[in-house]
This record gives sequence, C-alpha cells and structure tokens, in this order.
Amino acid sequence: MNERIQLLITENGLVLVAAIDCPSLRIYRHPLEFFIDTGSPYSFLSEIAVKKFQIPIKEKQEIGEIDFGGSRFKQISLPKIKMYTLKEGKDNKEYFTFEVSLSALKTTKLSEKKIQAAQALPSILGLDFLKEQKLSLHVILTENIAYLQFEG
Amino acid sequence: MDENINDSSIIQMLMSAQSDLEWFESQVDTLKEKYNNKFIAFYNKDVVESDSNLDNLLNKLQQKGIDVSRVFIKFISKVKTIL
Repeated sequence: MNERIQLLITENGLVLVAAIDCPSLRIYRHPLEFFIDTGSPYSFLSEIAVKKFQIPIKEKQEIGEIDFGGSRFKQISLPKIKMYTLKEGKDNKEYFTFEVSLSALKTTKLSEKKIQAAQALPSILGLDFLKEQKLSLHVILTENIAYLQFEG
Repeated sequence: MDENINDSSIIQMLMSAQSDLEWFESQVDTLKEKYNNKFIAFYNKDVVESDSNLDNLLNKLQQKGIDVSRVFIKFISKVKTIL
C-alpha cells in the first residue's frame, strides 16, 4: 500500500496538520493547519500565519494580486519552507518532510470589517502542492476518511 | 520527499497539534455561541485568549507571555465561509 497522510474532515473542509520550518524567516518547527483546496492553483500562508510568525513581508517581493475567498490580496514571495506531517499508521511514530513553495497573502482592504473577513481566511495547500509532491487526494465522506497518498 | 524517523519532538508536536484541532472541531458549536465574530487562540484544548481584532489578540497573548507561534488562532463566526 502506498504511504498516506491522514486529513481531518472539518466543518469547513479538509485539514492537513503540519509543522513548518524556515530559519531565514525565523520559523522553527511551528505548528500550522492547512486547508486542502483543489479549487486553488496556488498555496498560501494566511494573514493569521504571517502575523503569528511575524514574517517581515514588507521586505519581501510582491509578485501580484490575487482574489481569494471574496477578498483581494497582495501576493508576497517567500523562500521555500520545510513542512512536516505525520505518516498515517504505525502508531504515528514517523513523519514526512517536504520542501514547499508558499506565498504570503496581505489584504488590500482598508475597512475594519473587510480586514477582519480577509484575516479570517485559512492557509491553503492548492493544486501546485499536490502536483509538486506527487500526491493524490482521496475522500470517502460516508466513511469519514480523507487522506493524501503518494503516487507511484 | 525526504523521510525521517526517530525525531520525537516533531512527532509529539504534530500529535499535540492534531489533538488540539480535533478538540476545536468537537467544540465548534459551543465556541460559536461564546466567541461569535472573534478571533480565538487555543492551545492544549483550551481557549487562552480572544478578541475581535487580530492584532489586539496577538498583543494580549504576548502580554500574557504566551508563545504566539505555538497556539492555533481561528476566526469564529456563525456565518459559514466558502473559499
């Protein structure tokens, strides 16, 4: 059987539990949740994550604007980030490590209400993540099962 | 993909994070009643702080001496969000 990563099935979607590591951003194995979003071609760190980890996005290159979850964001380039996830089975005593490409999102909104709505959006792993890591997504909601599986 | 084993600190962190997120999901209806339209920070299956403003929440956590990078922060709303 190919190796798998278990996903949590939540009210708002499928969640991957991870720890991320990026010494150049002073992030050292910090826990983070990502929503798996096959409707997104790209992967992002949420504004909550940017603020929580104090990522200095003002110093980073802006690579465009993007509409996401009904809000417009500036897309900020980030260095490659190392991600850790638990391997399914074997009493959760092993984990996988990935090098992932993520950009940061910064809202362009000015009103407090719209800023709050933009900040409420989660971190996302999109189709680029599944493709780069050669992962397939499997969901059987009637059995409450969701997982990522390595292809091949 | 680079696979590693025998790093108990990573595994412990990931299991703790998974446990916290499962707890959140099990409590989400109760949390919506109590914290509607607020950001909450939770850790070890407990809400440690809340505020309607994300920056204020982070300041509160720092004032309490809580390591912000170790907690989960989520926005709680009775309104459903579709990405």
